[in-house]
Amino acid sequence: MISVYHYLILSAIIFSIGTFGVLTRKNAIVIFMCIELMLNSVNLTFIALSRHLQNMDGQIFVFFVMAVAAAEAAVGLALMIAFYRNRESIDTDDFNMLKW
Amino acid sequence: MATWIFYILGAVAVVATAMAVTRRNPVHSVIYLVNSFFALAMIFYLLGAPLVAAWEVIIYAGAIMVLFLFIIMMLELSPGEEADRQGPGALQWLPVLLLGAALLTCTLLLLQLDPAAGQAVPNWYASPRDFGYVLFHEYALAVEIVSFQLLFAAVGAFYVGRAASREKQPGGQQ
Amino acid sequence: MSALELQSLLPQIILALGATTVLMLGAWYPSRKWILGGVVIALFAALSAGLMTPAVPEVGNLYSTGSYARFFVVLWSLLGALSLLLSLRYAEIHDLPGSEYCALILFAICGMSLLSAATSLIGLFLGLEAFTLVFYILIAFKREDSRGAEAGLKYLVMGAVATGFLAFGISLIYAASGSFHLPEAFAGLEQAGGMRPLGLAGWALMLVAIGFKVSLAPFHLWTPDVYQGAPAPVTGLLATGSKGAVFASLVPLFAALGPLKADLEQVLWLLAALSLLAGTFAALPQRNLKRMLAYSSVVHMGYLMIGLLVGGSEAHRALLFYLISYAFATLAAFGVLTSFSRVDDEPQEYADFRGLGYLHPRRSSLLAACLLSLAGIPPLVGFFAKFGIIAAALKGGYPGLAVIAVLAALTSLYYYLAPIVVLFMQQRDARQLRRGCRHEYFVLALCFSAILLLGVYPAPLLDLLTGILP
Repeated sequence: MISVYHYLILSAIIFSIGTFGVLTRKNAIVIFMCIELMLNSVNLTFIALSRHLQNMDGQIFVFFVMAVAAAEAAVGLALMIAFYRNRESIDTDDFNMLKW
Repeated sequence: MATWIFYILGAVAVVATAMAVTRRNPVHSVIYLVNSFFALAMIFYLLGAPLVAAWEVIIYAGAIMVLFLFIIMMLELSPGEEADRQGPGALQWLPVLLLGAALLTCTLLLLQLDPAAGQAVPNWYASPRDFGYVLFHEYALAVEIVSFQLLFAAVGAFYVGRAASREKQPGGQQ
Repeated sequence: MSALELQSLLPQIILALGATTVLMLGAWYPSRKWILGGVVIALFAALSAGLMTPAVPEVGNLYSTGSYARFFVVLWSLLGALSLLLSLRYAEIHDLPGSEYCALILFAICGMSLLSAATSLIGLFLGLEAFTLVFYILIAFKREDSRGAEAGLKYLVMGAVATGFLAFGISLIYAASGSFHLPEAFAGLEQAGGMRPLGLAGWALMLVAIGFKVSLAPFHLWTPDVYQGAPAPVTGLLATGSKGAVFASLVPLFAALGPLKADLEQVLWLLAALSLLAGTFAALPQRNLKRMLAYSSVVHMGYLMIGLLVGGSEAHRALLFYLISYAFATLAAFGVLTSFSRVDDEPQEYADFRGLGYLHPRRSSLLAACLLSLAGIPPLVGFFAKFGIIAAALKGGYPGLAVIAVLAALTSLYYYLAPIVVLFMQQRDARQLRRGCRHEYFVLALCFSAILLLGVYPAPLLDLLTGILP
């Protein structure tokens, strides 16, 4: 039988893979995808807990996480276009005008 | 049965996620990410959250990932156009095919289990109706805030993404 | 939601609807005068928060309308109005669109007011995201400046990772308690059930996210780059309002934490000490005023963290007093930078300021006063603020932290005096800088009188803070 811990472990694995990607990848778009992954693993936790606790609040939170993620993606991609227009690259190695 | 589906979907999600994070070509990452989102959506369905599962597919796999794909193609970030001309090698398409096949199997299996009938989810099931009631009844204020947030995100994205123009605004001071 | 609840949330509704109105009208009548309209809206919100008695204590189980929350609505609205006034000439010379800029700042103030009023983890999440999202855009608002886009992208990547950690932390706290509403969430955590370790892990993840947002060491690396790349008035609001709002939301959170705080004590101690040390050492070699202010803000966050760690109403009062004194001095410092800025660039490097004290004596003295207040020189307000925090640390039984705080304050004299020396003691070879305008002088005079008056006569503010603390 699958308990809530199985779901939590699965989501922790995905969250860690996402964090790993954020730390190791150089391409800003891929870093952004990894952040979406992290948020998705959070969604999984909420859905699993929502069922475990027999309580709708967890699913409601997922709704807000999705909305925030969509807003962040829109702004982030616009910023990437702005950065690319100036620098012809979105590699984090090129984030060097300001001392990192 | 539900146990098996969970393990297959969990494996698909983890493998697809790992592949997405490690691919060099951003387009490949997007494809694996979509796989991972589909697996997660099915797990949501298994957990008695059909509405959120649908959103996962519509918003994440549909809207956000297409937006990513659009930007990748617009900025021409995908490397190795010469390699693409010969068609992708088996090593490139085989993992996606396997993951997709696993997802398809799970979909067929899921169709056998109807969560509403209480087989897969013995104790709890959130129908879209219940969800909508709680969302717009208890959390109406939060919905308003989040919609304002989306509005200003759209305004900001329009403003920042538009190319800078040097035309002067009328009516400015001094 | 009833009409009474809407009426209780009036200040935030004024801000949000005002922002959309300005945005919409700006589409038909583009003008930089809208920034002045934004100032009026922000002041109106502050007035309504200050004068109106809310009908219900809590709206929708999300946001409190108590006197503590309303005090911060007033504070953030005032800070927002001041930074809008500061932006007037800046927007003119950099050709920024008035209505969009004004609407975004107003919505950022709305988000900060919501965050400091949050009584639920959902409210906290949404308030925090509302204004960080706006700041991503505001930082990159000068489109022709590629440093702005770079700073915005850096802040966005860091902020989005922090969002992930925050959401994961909230999910674990939810696991342990089954509720987002803070009193229930804490009650759930206090019972030693099977999920309690998960709840503690959730708190740890939330602390990581908060560390990112307020730039506590070791999560502070984005701070100098973002400060440097962002437009000066935006940096002013980012340094004061956005960090302040997070602390304002943490104070009631920690006041309600109860016995759980013992489990977090060592982590908080470490965060405070690391911020004090790392900020101090990084600030010492800086030759760029914005970067120096960024690293020194890490030190100030360390002081605020001490107040949070010690706990109790006296330490929390010291924390809020410190927050206000830091906000006015920092805003004025960025205000001086704004008023020195020219069409092509804003001066940041110390070399740009050489001998400027003779060319623009009033503004340079004001900058010096702000830096001295931040360093904690009496009779300016920074001295009392630091004194309050260190006294609270000693009384609360944290002598080690008090020693580190005193050492950090002494060392801070070196890096705060360095720009003052450049301003007044060296031969003048500064290029002719732009004259300021009267709006900027008004803001600067107001901030200066605040840091001087509160330093000489802090009692009324302290009494007020005692009254509003939960």
